[in-house]
Formats: sequence, C-alpha cells, structure tokens
Amino acid sequence: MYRKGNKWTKQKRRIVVVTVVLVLFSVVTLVTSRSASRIEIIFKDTIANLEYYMIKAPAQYVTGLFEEYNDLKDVYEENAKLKEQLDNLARESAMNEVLTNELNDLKEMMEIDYLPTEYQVKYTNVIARDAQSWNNQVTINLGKSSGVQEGMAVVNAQGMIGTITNVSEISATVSLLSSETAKSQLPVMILSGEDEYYGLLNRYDINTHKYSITLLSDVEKIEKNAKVVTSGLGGAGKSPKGILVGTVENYTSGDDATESVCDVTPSVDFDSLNDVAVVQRVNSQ
Amino acid sequence: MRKRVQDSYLMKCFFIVFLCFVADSTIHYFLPYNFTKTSITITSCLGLMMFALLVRTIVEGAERYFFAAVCSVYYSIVYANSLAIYILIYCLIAFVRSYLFKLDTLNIFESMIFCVLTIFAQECIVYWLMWITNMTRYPMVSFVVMQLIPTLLFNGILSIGIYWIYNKVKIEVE
Repeated sequence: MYRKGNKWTKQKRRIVVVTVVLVLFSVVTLVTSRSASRIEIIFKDTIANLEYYMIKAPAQYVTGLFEEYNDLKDVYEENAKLKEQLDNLARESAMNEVLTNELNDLKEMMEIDYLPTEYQVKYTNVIARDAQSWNNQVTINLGKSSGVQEGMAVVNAQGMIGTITNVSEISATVSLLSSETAKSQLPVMILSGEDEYYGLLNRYDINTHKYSITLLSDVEKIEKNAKVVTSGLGGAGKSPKGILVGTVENYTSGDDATESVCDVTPSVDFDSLNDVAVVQRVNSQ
Repeated sequence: MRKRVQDSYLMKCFFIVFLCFVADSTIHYFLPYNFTKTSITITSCLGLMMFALLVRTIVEGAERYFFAAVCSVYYSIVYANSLAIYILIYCLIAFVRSYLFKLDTLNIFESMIFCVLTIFAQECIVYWLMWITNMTRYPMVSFVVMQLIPTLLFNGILSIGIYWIYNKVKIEVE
C-alpha cells in the first residue's frame, strides 16, 4: 500500500515538473521572442506534410473533380479561344527565338554570364497556412532538398507573393508581402513612362490595403498605374529583376525631413493562394 | 487499477483534442482565407472547445494543467507558429474550469455559451498581444465586425457537434 502510494506520488511529481517546464519554456519564448528551434521546425513540418498528403490533398482532389465537371460545360468556348491564340503562338515563338539569339550574342560581346532578369521557377503548392491570421505566412512543400534557399522570391500567376524566410529539408515558410511587419525590405523599381525609380517595399498598410514603398531616387512625377517590379538588387539568391509587384496608386513627395512614399496596389489576390512557384536566379546556382 | 483507468482516460482526451486540431487545420485549409483583412475572416476552434469541455472531466488537478500544457504547446508549435501565449490561455481555461465555472455536467446551451466565451477570450487576448507588440494596426471595430463575430457565430454552430462528441467521450467527475 505504501509502495503503491509512493509510486503514485512520484508520477504526480513528474507530471508537475513537466508542466512547470513547459510553462517556463513558453514564457521564455514569449518574453525573448526567440525563433523556433530545429526540432520544432522538423516536428511542425512532419505534421503539416502528413496532414496535407493524408487528408487535405485527397479532399482537394475530390472537390476538384466536381469543379472539373462544371468546367466541362465551358470547354467548347475555351477551345475556340485557344485555337485563335495558337495562330499567334507560332509567330511569337519565332520572334522569341530571334530575340534570345540576339541577347546571347550581346552577352558574349559584353562578357556577361547572367542577366538579373534570368531565372528558373519550381512549381509547388501551399500545404498549410498559419492557424491565426496575424503572421501572414504559408508553408510550401519544397525545401532544401529541392534547392530552395532563404530570401528566394515566391510568385503566382499574378505576381510576387512573398519571400522564403525559413527552410527545412522538405518544406519552407513563405512570409507574404501582405505582412504588416516585413522582416526585410524588398528592393523594387517603378516604371513610370521612360523613367525608372528605385525604392524599398517596407510593409503592407492594413488600413489602405496598399504596399508602402519608400523611394530612394529623386522623383519629379510618377504616373498613376505605373508598374512596380522587383529591381533584382537584393543580391545573388534573392528576387531577380522584373517580377510584378503591383501598380502605383498615389505618390507623396517628401521634403528634406521626410521621405517620399508611394502607395502601391498589390497585383496579387492574396485570398487565393494554392499554386505558387519559387523563383531561383540563374546566377545563384 | 484506478490509476490505470485515469491514465487511459488522459490519453483518450489527448487523442480527441489532437483529432479536433487536425479537423481545425483541414477546415481552415478549405475555408476562404483573407490575408489582407479586406473581408470576413473565420477561424475554426474545434480543438479549443473540446479542450475547454474535457479539462474539467480530468480528476487530478496536476493532470489538468499537464493536459493544458501539452495541448497548448502542440498547438503553438504546429499550427500557431510558436506563438507561446497559448499555453497561458489554456492554463487559464483549466483554472477557470477548476475553480470558477466548475459545473460537472453541462447541457447544450451552457456548453455553447462557455465555448463561445472561451473563444472570445482567446481572440481578444491574441489581438491585444498583436496590438501591443506592434504586429498589427488592424482597427478594433474592423476586428470585431470582420473577424471576431463571424468566428464566434461559426464556432457556436460547430459547438453543437463538439458537445455531442464530448458526451460520448467524457466520464463523470466523482
């Protein structure tokens, strides 16, 4: 009876110790804002991948079947449109080949190996989103084993959505450009008519729903709806030049004391992010 | 013998809450999501509701807080990107269920109200934390109208199913 009681007290003591350790660990994390350790990242990625491949992907496949059945009704009209575009495709392919050859000749003459606009893309999809909507991060199923590195740009069909901030072996975390507190500034370029202006994308303004860009160049005037693209000046391994970020909505010129700021409408619809691609600069291989 | 029964019941509670977290993640994946806060945002909280109901059915006080700590650490690491406030929230819920709202049996309306209040408390604490650490400047009125109320309504309906599962799973507290 005494031995059973003693054993029960030991077990209770162990439970109390584990609970206190977990609470202290959590308080330390909260106070010091420490980033996740390698074990936590591996554990999180394992669970995220298991959930995706065992539950979410099959469910998505089934819902996709119903959507495809609905899309079948529009096949005839889409087919007619695509046939028209095919006629133009041959002409554009030929022009593309001519321009590529000219570019290669010029690169050889100038002794340039890679241009900042040259990149490759690796297609992937979003496997998990943050449970709470405050962090503006998603997880993709490409990691170090696929050549993904921190700082690489992530895009979808509409433009740039964010950058890779954390990489594990089989997955990576993407911090979206819609984050109110960006971890790093994105170098961008504004194409206003024949002029090009350089700036840094600081953050996303939750009240105006626009990007806030600080201009680094002296600017006289910026056209409304001028395109904003990545400038490629972040260094090797970061975003290449020419990826669409958004269009200018308005511009506030600053004096000596204040900086010039541009409000930019995002090109991407952040509400539908499923199929994305990681952009890899050619000269970062 | 009694200890073995309690251990297996604790494991059963962990398993049920774990399944609810997986269900949350799946619902969250298929619900329309809104990163830019331009429209309604709904967060599924099945795991939190199930935890809030089950925690009172664990007999030992130490085991209740252990249950709270493990569930919250798991949620923080896997789903909430290491937002460590959750362990304090879950321990607070365990405290409230132990000493303040300590009804052993709940009818469906009481459980719905309790679940909604729990989610309300969690959302407000997280929003307050995001605000004071300058992680967001999302206006309070927009937060209440576009996120808090839709989340409470959505989870209020889901709490009916949670209550049904809770009744199947729980043992009566002696």
